[in-house]
Amino acid sequence: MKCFVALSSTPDVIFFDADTPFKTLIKEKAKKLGQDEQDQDEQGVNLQVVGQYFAPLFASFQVLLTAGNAYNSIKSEDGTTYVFHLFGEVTCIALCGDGDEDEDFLKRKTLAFQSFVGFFYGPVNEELKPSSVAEKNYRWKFLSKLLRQWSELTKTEQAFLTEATEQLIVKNELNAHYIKLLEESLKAISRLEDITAVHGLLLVGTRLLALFSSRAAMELNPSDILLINLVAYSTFPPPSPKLATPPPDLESRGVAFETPRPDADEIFYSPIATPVLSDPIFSGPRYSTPNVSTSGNPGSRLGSFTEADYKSISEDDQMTSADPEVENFLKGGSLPNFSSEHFSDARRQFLGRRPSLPALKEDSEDEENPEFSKKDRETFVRHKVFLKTGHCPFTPYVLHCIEIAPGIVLAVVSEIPSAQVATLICHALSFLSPLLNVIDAPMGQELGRVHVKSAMTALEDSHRRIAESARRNRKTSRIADKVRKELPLRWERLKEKGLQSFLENIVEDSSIRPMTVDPEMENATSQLVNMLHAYFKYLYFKKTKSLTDELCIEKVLAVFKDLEGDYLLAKALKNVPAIHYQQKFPGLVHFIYVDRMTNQLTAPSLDVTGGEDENAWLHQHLRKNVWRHWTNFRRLLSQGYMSASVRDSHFLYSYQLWCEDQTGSVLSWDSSSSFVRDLRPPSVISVKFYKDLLSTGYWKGQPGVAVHCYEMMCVHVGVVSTEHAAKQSKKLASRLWDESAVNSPANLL
Amino acid sequence: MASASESTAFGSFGVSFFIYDHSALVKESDKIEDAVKFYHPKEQFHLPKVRERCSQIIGITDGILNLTGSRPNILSLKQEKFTLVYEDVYGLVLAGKETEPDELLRRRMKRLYDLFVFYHGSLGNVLKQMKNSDQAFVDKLEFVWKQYYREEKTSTKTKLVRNLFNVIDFVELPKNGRQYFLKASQILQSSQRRDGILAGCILYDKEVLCTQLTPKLTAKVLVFAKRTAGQRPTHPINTGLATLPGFINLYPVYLRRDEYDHLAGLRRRAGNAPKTLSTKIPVVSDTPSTSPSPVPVCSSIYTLDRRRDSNSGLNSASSSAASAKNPSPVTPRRSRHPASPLSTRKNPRTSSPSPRSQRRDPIESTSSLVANGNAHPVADQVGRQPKNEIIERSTVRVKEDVTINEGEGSDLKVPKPTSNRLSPIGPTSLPSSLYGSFDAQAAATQGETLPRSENPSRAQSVESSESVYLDCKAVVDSSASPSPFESNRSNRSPSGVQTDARRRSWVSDEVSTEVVLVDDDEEEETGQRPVKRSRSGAISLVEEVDAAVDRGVKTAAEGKQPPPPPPPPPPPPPPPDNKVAGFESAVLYIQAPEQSNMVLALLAEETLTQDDATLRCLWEGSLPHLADLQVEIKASLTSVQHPGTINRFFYASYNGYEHTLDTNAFTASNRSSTNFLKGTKLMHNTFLVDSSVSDVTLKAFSGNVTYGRHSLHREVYFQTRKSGQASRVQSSSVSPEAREAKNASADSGQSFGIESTARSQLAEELGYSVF
Repeated sequence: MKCFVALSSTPDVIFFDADTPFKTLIKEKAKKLGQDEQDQDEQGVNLQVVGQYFAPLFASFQVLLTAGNAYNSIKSEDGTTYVFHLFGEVTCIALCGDGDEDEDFLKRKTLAFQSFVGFFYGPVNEELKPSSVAEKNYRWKFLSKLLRQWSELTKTEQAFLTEATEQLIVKNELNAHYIKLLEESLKAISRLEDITAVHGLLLVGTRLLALFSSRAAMELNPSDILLINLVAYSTFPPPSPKLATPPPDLESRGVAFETPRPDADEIFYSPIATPVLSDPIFSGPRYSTPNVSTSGNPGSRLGSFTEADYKSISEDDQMTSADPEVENFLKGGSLPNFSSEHFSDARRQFLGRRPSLPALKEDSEDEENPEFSKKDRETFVRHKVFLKTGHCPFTPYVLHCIEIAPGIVLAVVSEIPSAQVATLICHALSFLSPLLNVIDAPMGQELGRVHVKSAMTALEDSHRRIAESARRNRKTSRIADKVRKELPLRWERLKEKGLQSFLENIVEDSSIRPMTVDPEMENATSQLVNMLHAYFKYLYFKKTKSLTDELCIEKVLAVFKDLEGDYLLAKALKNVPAIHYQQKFPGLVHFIYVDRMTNQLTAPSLDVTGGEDENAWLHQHLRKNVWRHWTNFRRLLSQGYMSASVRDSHFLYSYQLWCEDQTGSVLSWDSSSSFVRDLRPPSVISVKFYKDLLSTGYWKGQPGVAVHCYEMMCVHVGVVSTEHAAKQSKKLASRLWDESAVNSPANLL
Repeated sequence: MASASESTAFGSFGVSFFIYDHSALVKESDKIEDAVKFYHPKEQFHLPKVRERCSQIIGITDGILNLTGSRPNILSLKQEKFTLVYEDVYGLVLAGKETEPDELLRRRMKRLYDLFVFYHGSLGNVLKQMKNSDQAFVDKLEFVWKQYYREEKTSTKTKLVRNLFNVIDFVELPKNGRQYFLKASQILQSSQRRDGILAGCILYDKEVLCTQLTPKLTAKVLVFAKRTAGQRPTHPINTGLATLPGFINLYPVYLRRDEYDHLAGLRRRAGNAPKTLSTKIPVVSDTPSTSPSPVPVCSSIYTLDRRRDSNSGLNSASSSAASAKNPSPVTPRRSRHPASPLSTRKNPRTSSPSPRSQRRDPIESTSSLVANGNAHPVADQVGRQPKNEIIERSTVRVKEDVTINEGEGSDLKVPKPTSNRLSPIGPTSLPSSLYGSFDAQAAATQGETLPRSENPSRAQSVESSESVYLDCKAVVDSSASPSPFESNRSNRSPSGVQTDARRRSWVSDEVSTEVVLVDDDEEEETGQRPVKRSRSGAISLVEEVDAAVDRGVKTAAEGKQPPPPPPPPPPPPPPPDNKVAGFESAVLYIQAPEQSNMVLALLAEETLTQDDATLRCLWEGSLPHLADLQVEIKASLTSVQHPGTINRFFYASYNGYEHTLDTNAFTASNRSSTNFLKGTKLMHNTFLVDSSVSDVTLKAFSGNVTYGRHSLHREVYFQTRKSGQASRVQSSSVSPEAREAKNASADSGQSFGIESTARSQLAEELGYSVF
């Protein structure tokens, strides 16, 4: 029995996903309550009953939240586990009663859900439940599918287990060729569609084959790469391994059994050459690789408004200004939800170029027939996404996914105009939204670190610039006009209510936890936040220019016509052969090596046979234990243990996190500094664990020098001593470091 | 990221604890104050946020019960973690820090609740005992739980690692102290043969010396046994027996069925079933007994005494020499060794071995083993289960060849007590049969008595009285006529009381014993009564001896002026209805003299409360032996010093079978020790949750490396006191040199943080088989 529900502060069910047993339970409850079956939604569940079902938990959670001591999890005698998570004003409750998902997993699930919401809806969490039933059903179904896909991949794929990108290792020549194809495809798209395509990713299953970023593009965050990968995989799942018969002449077709070392001229286009972390601390000379802009139109830069941006907004605003909800908002109502008509248009955008094959049908068919069948599938989808950049956590982009071949997806990220306003709005919201919740200790510390006067000045500036942008749109948009008029007033009102003194109190007296703002100030803050949300929605949840021309798609497909799909799929099944390392390192069974600088995973494939050979039980056992111990090691890591080894029945599992400086010297942790336990599991998708870990400055090294972080888990046979395993792990790490293209001396050329 | 959060990682247990009555919260208007029957710490309960949290916990319990039909047992909040157990309409909630592993918190809650159940049955039972008075019930819970909770919390704060493992404190005996364990075991075994006694344990200085109970039961018994009567959370049973000294208390306890069956099985194996044992022998007293019923002689204790004598070879070489002189398997031998106060002297009138005894398999009877003095491993006699079975297969019958000198019996007469004087050993209301003893002792201290050698007639009378008051009279005789070894044996108990233990050894010199070995089976087969072997080898029927003993009682009584009869004891109160569903009612017998460090705790059947004879025999028989044991242990106990090298490490070695722990880490005084405790807790939790994990190494960011190993019943943890330093490879070059340096550091294996050298070294020094 599994269930995932998100509740607003009302409380209203703004997202619900459950398996059949839980739905049956809800239906039975509905029968007892005498609820009409007509009230059931598309999933066959009465959401009112769902709300009633979770109402006691939610109420209790809210009461304790006010006291700053809310629930993290609840375990029942029958093994049912409930995990609570709050982000913004959304309360997530993940439930599992069949023992399939433990508390740690459910915690990660809630964090992943938060990432999905941010990825697709930015700071406007209310978009989870639009007023349009059809749109709501579509969005819920899409998110449910994504959530389930994430759960499945996290249980089966090492890349999602470690939350790192696994590169598909092919010959250097092939790699260079694919990067060149990416460059061409981006050029073609930009040329034909008059959009700015800034990132291109070629994905084979869950593995990244090639990544190309334009020179002027903002860096792709590791979590965004993972989410793009997930969306692509979820939309275009690869054919099952059984159907994909590996070609007999793998060797002849270039399957490399050694990690390739790219040539000097290919380094530039290597996927890992793209800087993935925007923090300056990560941008050491060894890893800093210049990007190439293949687009002739780099697009507008962040922080600068152009007239063209506002013009673009004005054009699109013509359509949305007649929305009744917007009208309602303009009359002083609450935050509007866009109408079904509006989202039907948006839905068409989501569904892509083939309206004759609706996505909902496609989804249901996918669920029923997991095996791949190209004729029933779409080849193109588009999503409005909000990526994390250095300046803004929700920078709007458009993600286009094109299926090049079965299981091989081209993901193109294109910019949208007027993205700079998002930075201003997000900056304002980052200060104001926390005030609507109970300010607990971490939040207080976060707020306490800011300099109040400078923060107020920055807020003042943000509101001024937002109002200015609204002023430019006032003639074409009534929302913009309202924002222009009322935003400065509401901001002034909030200031009058004592925002500055409140922030100063937090800074001065950090011991007062938890605390809430007084009702008047809360009301003023709420009105201001609502207005900012509305403007954000107006700007970015509307029809924008995107890849729509069928000709363009055909052009892109033509670029990749020579792509050897079968070979790539076969290669993806056994990306890194374990036997190669096992011969070099006797006793070694398996390893996982993650470079957290580039967030790249190197690990031999596990259990590609699907459990049909005579050693199936061994594969199952190994897989199960690798997952279990990796989770345990992560838990230990969050509790302050950077190294651990566990001898469990037949195998010895060892884990190590270490940091190096640019010269490759191992850095030690300053022993005078203690590690603060983080209750959240270390995660890349939703938690800045590694970034925080490295930015603490407690690693002994030269100050200001970039610190590189690595993780490695090794599995040895049980008879191997811990010392031998440690030595061997270190040697293996050195070897992998050598083999890593990014660390090659040629990279410095 | 620096924080002091680690410092609180181990002071986590016992943030709060409360009990609520679910039935008191039905309507919205019901107050939480009425529902919470006990909250600790009480002073916090008036805080609104505390009440709110309580009400939320109670509410969420109901909510989840309605949702899935199952109640929560772990509630994890941001700052705290709660574990819950339920009993009928009551819920018990224990809070710990959020960092506390679920399994450990759950086990602590279970331990706490099991302790309560052991002594009180259930919350409903307590309410019933309080006659459904809510206020009385609340007061009782307050009184009881405060102490249980404090017990747990105190031990957690002071002995963190020990509490983590639920350790039972055992007396750390020196290497040559095995005989004390043996003697304690023998006392327990002989006690176990009494009617209704299930099993028990003996404590020395609040630590367990020997136990027959399971570790869980021992831990529960320990909570009461190591406290004084006034500190125990429950009141003793009012038996109505006037002869029961004040230092003996009986408490009702509740055993689970499986526990009870286990103890009953132990009792059967220990040979409690045969009631034809010499406990049937009536007591021979030189003073009228105050007991309304014939008081049985502590013959098993006497047998024990024989065993002790035989085992004195553990203390002196003389016994082995004596056994060498007399290799007969059944001949009661008396060894004499002037230098050893514990040695026994051989009776010149010792009878020759009986042919029947000679035929017996030496391992078939403990007595025979004892008698022949063959060096039998101590552990074999008490420490192993098969020996218990051996003991139960034979019935030991011990009789004294009594020589009554009626006329001179009055030599023993001493001034009668004018009041109930306190026993030097501790009893507050000793029976009148002992009055003379203590007065004689007092007289001895005043120089009123002559040395034994100077008063042969007195010695003779002593001899006669010894035969019937073997244990009790030993006090008298030793005081009245000091032994030649008195100077060597004038050990005093820690309380300054001269004990009778060593005196008894010379008293037994004058006692001629007969050891009659009778197999129950054989008796049944032959249909004959067991026989008594006289010192001269003559065989007489036990009946005759009994008759003679009876006569002796009679004549001794006639030769004395009987004291005024004590007032009849009040009729025992009707046994309370203590039945609790799923539990067997039992009794915890605690014998804890005020000034003694020795405590005898026995679990018995309920009938013991009305069995004056058994009770009397129990304490009369065990008291001197325990006092003896106390002196011996105190004299031999020296603080066990660990090797100096151990101080370079924190270590903990836990025996999961015996629930014992050897460690040098008790408090989280600094970061290093905090790390050790934290790592130990994590690893212990891992071993509990995942039994397939055998060893774990953890390295913290601070550099401390903690190692833990788990075998079948044993867990070993250690950590270097000094923070480990990860090696730092200096390299100025960019790639080739850096690569070489990395390879070099890989060769050393140190930069990976697993300090194998320290671990191996420690393993070597501690003698642990780590690898």
